[in-house]
Amino acid sequence: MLKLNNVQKDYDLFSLKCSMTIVNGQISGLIGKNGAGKSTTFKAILDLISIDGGTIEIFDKDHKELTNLDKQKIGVVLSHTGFSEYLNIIDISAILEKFYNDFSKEHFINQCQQQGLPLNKKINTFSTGMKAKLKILIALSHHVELLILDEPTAGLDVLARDELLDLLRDYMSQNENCSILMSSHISSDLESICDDIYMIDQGKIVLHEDTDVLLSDYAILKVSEEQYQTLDKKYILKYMKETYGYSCLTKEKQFYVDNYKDIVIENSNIDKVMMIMIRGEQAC
Amino acid sequence: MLGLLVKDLKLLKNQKMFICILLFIAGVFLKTDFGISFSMGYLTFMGAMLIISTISMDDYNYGMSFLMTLPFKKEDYVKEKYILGIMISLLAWLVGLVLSFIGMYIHDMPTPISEHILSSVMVLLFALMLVSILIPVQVKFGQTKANVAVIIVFAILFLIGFIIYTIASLLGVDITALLNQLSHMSQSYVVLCILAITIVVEGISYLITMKIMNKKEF
Repeated sequence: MLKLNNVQKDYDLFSLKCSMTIVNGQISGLIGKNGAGKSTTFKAILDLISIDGGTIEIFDKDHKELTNLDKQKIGVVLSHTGFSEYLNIIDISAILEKFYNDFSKEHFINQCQQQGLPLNKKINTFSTGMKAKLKILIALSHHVELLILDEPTAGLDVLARDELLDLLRDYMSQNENCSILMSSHISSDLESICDDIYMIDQGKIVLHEDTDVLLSDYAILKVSEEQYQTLDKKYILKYMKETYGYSCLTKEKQFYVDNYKDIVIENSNIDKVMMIMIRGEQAC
Repeated sequence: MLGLLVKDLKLLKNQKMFICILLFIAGVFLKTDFGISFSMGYLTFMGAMLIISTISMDDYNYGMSFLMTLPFKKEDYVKEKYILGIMISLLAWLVGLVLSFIGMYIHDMPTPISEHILSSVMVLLFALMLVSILIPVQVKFGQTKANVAVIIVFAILFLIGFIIYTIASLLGVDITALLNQLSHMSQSYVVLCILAITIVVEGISYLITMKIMNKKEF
C-alpha cells in the first residue's frame, strides 16, 4: 500500500532518512518528539516536498506518478491546516463533490450532523474538537484506501480524542482493506488503535514493532548500580541513568522475570519505550 | 479543476461586502462626468485583483499544504487561477462598462459608443497585464512577503523602462515622438497591439508561475 525506501531529505540543520512499509488493512503509528521528522515524512509521502534520495511507492506506483484517480483514494489530515476557515460545511461538500467521484454529499452531511457540526457556520467559529472531527470526516468522505493522518487528535480532550478514534475504528471495520498511517503525540491513542508503531528520532526510524509485542514483551528494568553490574545485558536495548541506578529497556521481559527475581520489572508503554530509546545509551 | 473553481467562487462569495463597497464607490464617481471612465477602470482593476485575494486565502494558515493533497495537478492550480482571473476581470469590466454607459446617458455625453468600448477594452487589457505580473509574485512569495515583492517588481519594471528610454535616447531614438505617433494611430490598431502584448505577457506569466509551482515546497 505504502512503502518508503531509504527516503532522504536534507535541510541545513536536519536530515530525514527513513524506510517504512504500511501494508493493506493495517494501522501504523508514527511517534517521535517535536522536530523528530514526523511531519517531514508525511510531507514527503504526499509529495508536498521534494526528496533528495530514496523512493516512495503508493499503490505500487512512484508517489510522483499518482493520477488524480489514485489521489482520490487517499484521505489526508494535516495537523495545523485544512480547508479555508472562511468556508462552511455546505461549501466544503460542494467542493468535495467536484473533486471526488465517490463522494456522497448526503452521507457527508448526515455524518456532520451526527457529530453535531453546524452546516452553515464558518469553520473559524468551530471549536478545536469540531475542526478535528470535520477534518477526519472530510478525509473519510470519499471511500479512501489509504489514510495519512498527521496529529489528528492534537489539542483535543480525552473524550473528543476517543470519539475521533471511534470514527476511525468504524471506518476500518467497514473498509477492511484500508490502511492508515497516523502520527500522534499522545501515545495512548496509538496504543489503542495501531497494529504497529514506528518510532522516529532525528530523522531516523529507531524502532519498529507490533504494538502487541511492544506492550507484552518489552519491559523496563529498574536496577541499582550493583544490580546493573551483575545484569546480563545481552537483551538490554538501551539504558538510562537514574537517581536510583539505571532504567534498562529490554525486549525479552520473560528472560529477566525468570532469572532476576530481585529486580523491579515494569510493564512497558510507548512513552517509556520512547523515552529510553531516545534518551538512553546503547548497552554494551 | 472544477473543484478548484468552485472553491474559489465559494471563497469569493465571502467578499460580498468588499464587492458592494466597490460598486458603491464606482456609483459615487458616476455622479461626476469625469468620474465615468475612472469608475469603470476602478471596478475593472479592483475586480481583477480579487484573484490575488484567492491566492492569499489559499495560502492563509498553511492552507496550500492541505490543498495540494487534493486530487489535482499543480498545473491545474495554475490554469485555474489564470482562467478565473480572466473571468473575474471580464465580469468586473462588463459591470464597469454598463455603469459607464449609464453614467454617459445621465450626463448626456456625446462620446461615440465604439470609441468608448475600444478605450474600455484597453483598460481591461491593462488590468489583465497587471494580474499577470501579480500572480507569479503572489504564488512565489506568499501572503506575507508578496506586498514587498510587488513593490520590488514594479520598481524593477520602472527601472527597465528607464534604462530602455536612456539607451534609446543615447542611440538617437526619440521615444516621446514614437508615443506621440501612437496617439495618431487608429484606436483599433492600438488595441490590437496591446491585446498582442497582453497575450504574450499572460503566456510568459503562466510559464513563470508553472515553474514556481513545480519547484515550490509546501
